[in-house]
Amino acid sequence: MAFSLRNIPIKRKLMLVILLTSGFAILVMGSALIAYELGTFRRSLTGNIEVLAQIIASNSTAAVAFDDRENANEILRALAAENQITAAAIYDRNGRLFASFPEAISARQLPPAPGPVGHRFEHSHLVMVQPIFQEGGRLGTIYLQADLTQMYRRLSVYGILLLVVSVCSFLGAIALSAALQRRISLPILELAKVATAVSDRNDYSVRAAKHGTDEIGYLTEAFNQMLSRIGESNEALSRAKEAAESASKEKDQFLAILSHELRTPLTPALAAAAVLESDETVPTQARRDLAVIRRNIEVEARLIDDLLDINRIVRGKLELRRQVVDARSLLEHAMQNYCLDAAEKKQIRVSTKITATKTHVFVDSSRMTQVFWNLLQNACKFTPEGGSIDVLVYNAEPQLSSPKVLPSNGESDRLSDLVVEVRDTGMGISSESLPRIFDAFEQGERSRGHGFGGLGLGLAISRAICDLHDGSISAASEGKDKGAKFTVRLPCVKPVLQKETERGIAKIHDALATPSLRVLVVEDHPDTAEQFARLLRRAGHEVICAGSIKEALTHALAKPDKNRACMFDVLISDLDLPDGSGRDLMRNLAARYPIRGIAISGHGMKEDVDGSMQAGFSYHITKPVNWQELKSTIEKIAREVPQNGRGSVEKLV
Amino acid sequence: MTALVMACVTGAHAQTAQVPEYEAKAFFLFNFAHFVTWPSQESSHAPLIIGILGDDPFGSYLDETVRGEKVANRPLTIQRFRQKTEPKNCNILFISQSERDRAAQIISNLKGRSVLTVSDMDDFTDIGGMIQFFSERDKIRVRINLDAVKAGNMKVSSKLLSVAEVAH
Repeated sequence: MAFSLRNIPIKRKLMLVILLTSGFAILVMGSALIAYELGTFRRSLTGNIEVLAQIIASNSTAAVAFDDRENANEILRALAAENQITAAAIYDRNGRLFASFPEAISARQLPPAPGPVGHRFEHSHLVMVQPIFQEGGRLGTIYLQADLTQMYRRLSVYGILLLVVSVCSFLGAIALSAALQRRISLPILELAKVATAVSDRNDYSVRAAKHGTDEIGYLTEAFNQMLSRIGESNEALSRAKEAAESASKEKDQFLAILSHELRTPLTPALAAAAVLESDETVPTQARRDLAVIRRNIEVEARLIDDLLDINRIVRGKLELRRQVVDARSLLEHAMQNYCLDAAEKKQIRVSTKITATKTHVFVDSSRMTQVFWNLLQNACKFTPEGGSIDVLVYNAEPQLSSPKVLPSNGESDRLSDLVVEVRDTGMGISSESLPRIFDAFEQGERSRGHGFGGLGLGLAISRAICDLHDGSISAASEGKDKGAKFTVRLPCVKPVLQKETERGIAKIHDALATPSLRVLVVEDHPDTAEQFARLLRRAGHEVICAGSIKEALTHALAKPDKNRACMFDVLISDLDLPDGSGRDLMRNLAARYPIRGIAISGHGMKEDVDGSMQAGFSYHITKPVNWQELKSTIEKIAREVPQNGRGSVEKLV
Repeated sequence: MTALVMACVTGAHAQTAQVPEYEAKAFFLFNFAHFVTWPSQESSHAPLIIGILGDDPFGSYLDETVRGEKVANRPLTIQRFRQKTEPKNCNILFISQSERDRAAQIISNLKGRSVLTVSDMDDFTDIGGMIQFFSERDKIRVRINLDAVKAGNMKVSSKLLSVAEVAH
């Protein structure tokens, strides 16, 4: 009972308490009553039988004295009226049986001697022995045997009566307690209901009704007070949260705008520097200085890019344009463009060892390139002069879960993971800072940051990118000055044949000379426009610049040469133009003649890209414009625009 | 059957026959002291005297019966008489069969005195004796001449009367 008492409802507990106490009281009272009754009954019975014995003794003196048995028997027969007397006997002064009652009783049923004077309880009998005296002389003994069954019957009647009373009072107690316990359990249950409502609906405005000023009333009051306190503090918290969130949003927005605004002027500066640097007519000394300018602008641009990226990651707005690519090409790209020069300058030996047979992954090429570049750049940065960097590419048993997003026309190859390892002989990472190395704004130990520059965002961005690609990135180091090892692990996918073919075709096209294109650059920022034009002209294309849609249309709709079907092959347009959107321009031109478009925009969200594609653009390049990217895109278009395409158009005219 | 025989052997009636006649009579004689009240008995602490006039038929029975006994705090003594005039101070006087011829004379001598006269001679109550033993169905019974007892200023307990036969 004790184990379950804890869990039974309070109303049952109350009932139980009432029943137990009342039951105990009834039991004690009943027992006392029965004990008293038993004592009283015995006393009165003993008294009655004693008087009876004395009367018989007194009456039978002469019979005993004068040996008159008939008289003695007759006296005893009077006992027939006393139905509780079951046996009686008179013994003479020598203790011999003299007379007995009832007549039918045999001497064997009576004791041979009367025994000591007094009374005693034997089994179901009361035995009374009294002397027969006359004038002080003892003449004999009287023996009476009284039946106790009557007494026991009466006691059992008492017991039954007590039982009935107990049951009745029990039922009464149940009814009473059922009625009374509601006053205690109902307010508690109500309180619990309110508490449940509060936790279910998070509604702190509800209040429990108070039923009185007892303990439960006090509890209810305290509960209500607590509710209002929680409600108040909740409100304050949510207000503070809202304020903080909006402040944070504002800050993020500000940061995005700031980064964007900081980044925009760098693009033309970078382009100009690049052009001048590669201009043979510029003196060598100046070109060296230009290289310094270009590199520093690049560093600056990357810092701002990182800030933009981390901002996107924080807001969960880092979008991926995934496709099946060969990871080797990405790695190669990263090494060619960002790493090898820097390594060479520090006389760091870079070796690449590719043993992987399955190298296709389903990734956003530029993002994954960014990861590889980050790792390579870190390796260069932290490796002292004369050190070495080893890049290992191999397949390993799959550890990663299957990618959540699969290429629409491909399938995953869960037989292996692709592992890219970048090892350096640099300063290494202490075991204390190893776990935090991928956190934003963390650059190993702070001391490590000295002289190395950077915001320490690269690894955080890399980890976010790897996570988004269902991959992983990890770092290992045997300790300070023992070098570091960074490992990127990506799930392999089966190469897409079509792409493979495309690659093959592209290779063939690579071998051919890139055909010259006629490009219309629409950009309201004159410096940027000028830089694009110069770069494109250097690549062998014809370029005309326009600062607005109106100007662009004037150029585009001018009558072409005799042997041309249209004015331009490619439109490179900023989307935010003074007199409208570049998309409208694209739609307008695409409706007139086949023209490929490259959108240039400060926004790179999926919806931005989709919007551009819908307007008829083939590519969407997010600012800051990477010259290499723009150049390769133009080359791609040049290869795609069929040589006979222009011819067919010609036929139409 | 055996039980029945045993019951009869040890039964109340079977025992009576074995009690000698004068032993029972001695016991009766002693018991009269219990049921008869003598005048001024309350103040008296003197022994209660049981006298035997004439030949003693009791032998040692009577002496054995009263030995050590007291009636209303009075010890009992037994006196044996030969002369008819002597036994005036007795409380109970048993007149033996040997005095049959002188019985009427003795009774008249004791007239007015509180002496309980007892005898087992026939017609004792008829000649003015107070208590007479007689046999009835092999049992000794008592006959009482109440007038004679009253004349002697004694009282007989009604209990005694309930077991006795009253002579008229």
